[in-house]
Amino acid sequence: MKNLFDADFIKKLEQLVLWSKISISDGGAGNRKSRAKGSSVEFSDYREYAIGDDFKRIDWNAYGRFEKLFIKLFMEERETTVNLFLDTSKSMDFGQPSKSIISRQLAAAISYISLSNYDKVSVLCLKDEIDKFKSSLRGKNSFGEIAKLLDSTQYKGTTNIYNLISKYHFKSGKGVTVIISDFFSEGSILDMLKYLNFNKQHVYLCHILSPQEISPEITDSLRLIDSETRIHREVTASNHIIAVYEKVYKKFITHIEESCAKLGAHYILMDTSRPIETLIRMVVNRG
Amino acid sequence: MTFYNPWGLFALIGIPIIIVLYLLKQRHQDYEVSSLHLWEQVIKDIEANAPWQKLKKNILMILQIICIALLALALATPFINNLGSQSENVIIVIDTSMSMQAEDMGRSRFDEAKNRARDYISNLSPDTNITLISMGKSTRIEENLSNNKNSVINKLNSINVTNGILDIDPAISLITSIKSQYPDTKVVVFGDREIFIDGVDIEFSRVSNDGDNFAITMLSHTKTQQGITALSNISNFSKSDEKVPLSLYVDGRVFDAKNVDIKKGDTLNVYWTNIPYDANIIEVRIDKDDALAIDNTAWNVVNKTNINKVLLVSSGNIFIEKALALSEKIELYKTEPDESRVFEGYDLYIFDGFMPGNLPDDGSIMVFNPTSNKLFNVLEEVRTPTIEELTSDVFLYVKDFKFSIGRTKILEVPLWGQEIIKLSEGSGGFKGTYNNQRVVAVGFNVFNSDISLTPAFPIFMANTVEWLIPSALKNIESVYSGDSIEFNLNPRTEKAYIKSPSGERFTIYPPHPPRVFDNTDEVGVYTLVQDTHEGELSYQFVVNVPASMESDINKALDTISDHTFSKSENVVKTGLNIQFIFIWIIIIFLLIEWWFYKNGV
Repeated sequence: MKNLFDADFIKKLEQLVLWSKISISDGGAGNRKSRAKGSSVEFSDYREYAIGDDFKRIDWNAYGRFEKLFIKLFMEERETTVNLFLDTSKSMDFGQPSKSIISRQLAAAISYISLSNYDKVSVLCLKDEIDKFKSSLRGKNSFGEIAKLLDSTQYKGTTNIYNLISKYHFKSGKGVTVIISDFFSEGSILDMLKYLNFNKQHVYLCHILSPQEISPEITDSLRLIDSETRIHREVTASNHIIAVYEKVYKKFITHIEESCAKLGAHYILMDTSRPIETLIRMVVNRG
Repeated sequence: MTFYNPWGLFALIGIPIIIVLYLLKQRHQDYEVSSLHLWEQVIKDIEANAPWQKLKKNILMILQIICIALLALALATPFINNLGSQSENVIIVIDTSMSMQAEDMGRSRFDEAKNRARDYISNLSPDTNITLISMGKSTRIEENLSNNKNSVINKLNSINVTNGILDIDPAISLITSIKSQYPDTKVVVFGDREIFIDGVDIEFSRVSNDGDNFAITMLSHTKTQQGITALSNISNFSKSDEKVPLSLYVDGRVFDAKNVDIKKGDTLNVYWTNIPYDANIIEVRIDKDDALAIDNTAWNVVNKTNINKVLLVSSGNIFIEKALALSEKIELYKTEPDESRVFEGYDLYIFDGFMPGNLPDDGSIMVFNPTSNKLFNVLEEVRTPTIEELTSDVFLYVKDFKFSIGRTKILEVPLWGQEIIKLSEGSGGFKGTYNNQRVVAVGFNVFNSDISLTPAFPIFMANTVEWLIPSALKNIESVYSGDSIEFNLNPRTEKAYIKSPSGERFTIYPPHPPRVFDNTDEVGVYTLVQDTHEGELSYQFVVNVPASMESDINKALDTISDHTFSKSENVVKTGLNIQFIFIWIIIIFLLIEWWFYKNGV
C-alpha cells in the first residue's frame, strides 16, 4: 500500500488533469464551465438586449461600435460535489492485481482531478455501513486527507452497496456520484439508481473486476469459499461449468449495464489487469 | 427372484466402504473467491438445467456402488424360478443303459445327459431336496433327499454308463413309492427312452439324435460234420440300407471276413463255417464305424464237453446202466460191491444196495436202498407205501408221473437234506449237499418199483445226474452285461475266482456258498478258475452286450411317437440362474466407468 500514491502516481494524476479538459460533471461541476450562462467573471457570448434584461449587463462598448444593445453573457460558475463511494468489503480485496489497489488508485485519481477542478469531494468507504468518510473537501491540499483515508482503509466484511447508497443523505443537492465496486451485492441496482436520480446525481458506476472473476480458471474439485461470508460451495471443474459461469457473468454485466442505460448512469467495466491510467481515462472520457 | 447363495449379499458391505473412501478422498481443494454471488447462480443454473448434474459430480462413485451392488447380487447367485414349477423335492433319473453310450450328440448320450442334469441341478433352488437315481439293469439311489447340490453333482459325476440293459420296472416302482410318500415330488428323467408311470407327471429330457448303428445281436455255434458252424445275427439299425464288413476271429486270430448287405431295420443271419473243432473262442466283429461301438463285437465260447467219470457200484442193475448210458457227459465205470475197496477218483459214485464203510469224499454220491451210514440214518422198511408227493427238480417233467413201490426203506432226512419222495409212512428219498458233496438217497431198490419200467426213470436219472454233476455255469447259456451268474463249483474246489477280460480277479469261493458273480459289466471272455488239490480247473465263458435289447438306439424315438410328446420338448424346464446377466451388467458398468474416467467427466 506504500506505493499506492507515490510521486509517480501523483505526477500521472497531474498529467491527467491537464489532459482532461472536460469536466466529469454535467449539471455543473467545479470551477469548470457550466453550460448555464450566468453572472460569473468568464465571458461566454453576446446577445441582443431584450426587455427585462439587466441594464448592468449591457456592453456599452459594443453599443458604441454597433449602435445596438448587446448583453454580455458569462459562464456561470457552479461548485459541484463529487460523492465517491468506494466498496471496501472483503470481496474487493481480491484478484491479481488486487481490486483493492486499483479501486483506491481510481478513487484517488478521481478525487484529485475533482479537487483540481475546485469541486467539493466526499469520499465514503462502504462496508456493512459507511465505514469511513471525508466529506466536502476542497482544493488540492485536501488530497492528502483523502490519500490518508484511502491508505488506511481495510478491506473486510460484507457490504450491501445498493442499500447503503439508497439510504445516503445527499446534502448538497445536485452533484456527481462515483461508485467503485464489484457489485457482488444483494439488493436492487435499479432502486439505487432511481434514488440517485432523484437526488439529481450524475452517476458513474465503476465496475471493478479482476481477471480471475471475469474468466475463472478452475481445475479439479474445489471448495469455493466466499471471502466475505466464508460460506462454501463445492464444484468440480468441467468445461460445462466454465461455460455456465460465462453465461451467468454476461447476464450479470448486462443487467447492470442495462439498468445504467435505462436511468442515464455511466457504466464503466474495469478489468484490473489493465493499466490504471487507462482505467482513469475511461472515467474522465465519459464526462 | 431368489438367491442360491444369500451369503453373497455380504458383499454389499463394500458400498459403505466405497462411500467412506470417497468421503476421505473427495476432499475438495479450498479455493477462495471474492464472492459466491455468481457461483451460486452457476450452481443453481447447472442443477436446474440438468438435475443429474448433482449426480454427475459423483458419477464414478455411483457407478462403483452400482457395480458393488451388482457384484453382491451376482455372488448371491440370483435365480428366477418362474420358468418352471419349483418343487421342494426333485427326483433326477439318469439312464445308464448301454444305448446311452451312443455318440450321436457330438459326444456320448450319457455325457450329454449328465451335462444337462448338472445344469438342471445347478439351477434348482437351494432348498430343493434332490434324489438322484441311476437307472440301468439295476436301479440305484445315488443320493437321497439331499439339498447339498455339490454333493449331488459329485455323485452325478461319479456315475458311469454301463453295458447293460435298461430295466425300467425297478425305477418305476421306486419313483412311485417316493411319489406316494412325497406327492409334490417332481420327476425328471435324462435318457434316450421315455418312461411313463400312471398318474406321475414326468419331465423328460431326451438325449438322442438318430445315430446310425449296426450290431451283432446274436452269436452261437453248432458242431457239424465239417467242423464248427457259427451263426451270427447282424442288425442294421441305421436309416438306410448298408453294406457291412464283418470279420471272424477264432481264438484271437482272423479266420474269415465277409461283406453283407443289410436293409435298414433288418437283421441278417450270417453263417461262418469250417471252424476247427479245437476252436475255443469265436469272435465276430463289425468293421464299420457307427454311433455305438460296443455292440460291434460278440463272443461265443466253444466249451468242450467235460466227460465226468461215474462209478456204479452194483451187483448188476441194467436199468441204471441204461439210463446213465443216455448221457453224453458221463463215462460209466462199474464195479461189484467190495467192502475193502477205497472209492476215489470219480465224479459220481452210485451205490446200489450197498454202502461202503468209508464213503468217498471227492465226488457226489447217489445211493439206492441204503443202509445206515455216517451221513444219514435208515429207518424201518415198509411195504407198498403210498407216494404222497414227489418234490424237487430231480423230478422235473415227471412230477405227476405215477409209479408204485413194492418195498422201501424209510430214510431219516438229515438237516442238510431235502425230501424228494414223500411217502405217507415217511421219507422215501432226499437230496442235499454235505461239505460241498452232493448226495441223493433213494430208499428203494429199482427192482422193487415199477419206476424203472416207465419213461420217467431215465428222465429222473438224467435230472439227478445233472444235479449231482452240475455244469459250472448253471442254467445260463448266454451271459449279458449286468447279469448275475451263479456257479456250481466242483466239490474238490478249494478256491475259486473269476478273471475278467481286463485281467481283474474276483474271488467267489470260499466262503461257502460261492458268491453270486455280478461284476459282468465288462464284455469279453471271462475265466472261472477253480483251484483243487489236483490242479487248476478253468472254464471260460463270455459276456456279450444285450444288443437285441439296447442296440436299436433310435427305438426310443419310434415307440414314443405315439405319445403326446414333441421332439423339440427335450429341454427340461427349470429355474434360471441369472448370475451371468449380472456379470455382463457389471462389465458394462465398468466400461461406462472407464469411459467417464477417461473423459474426465
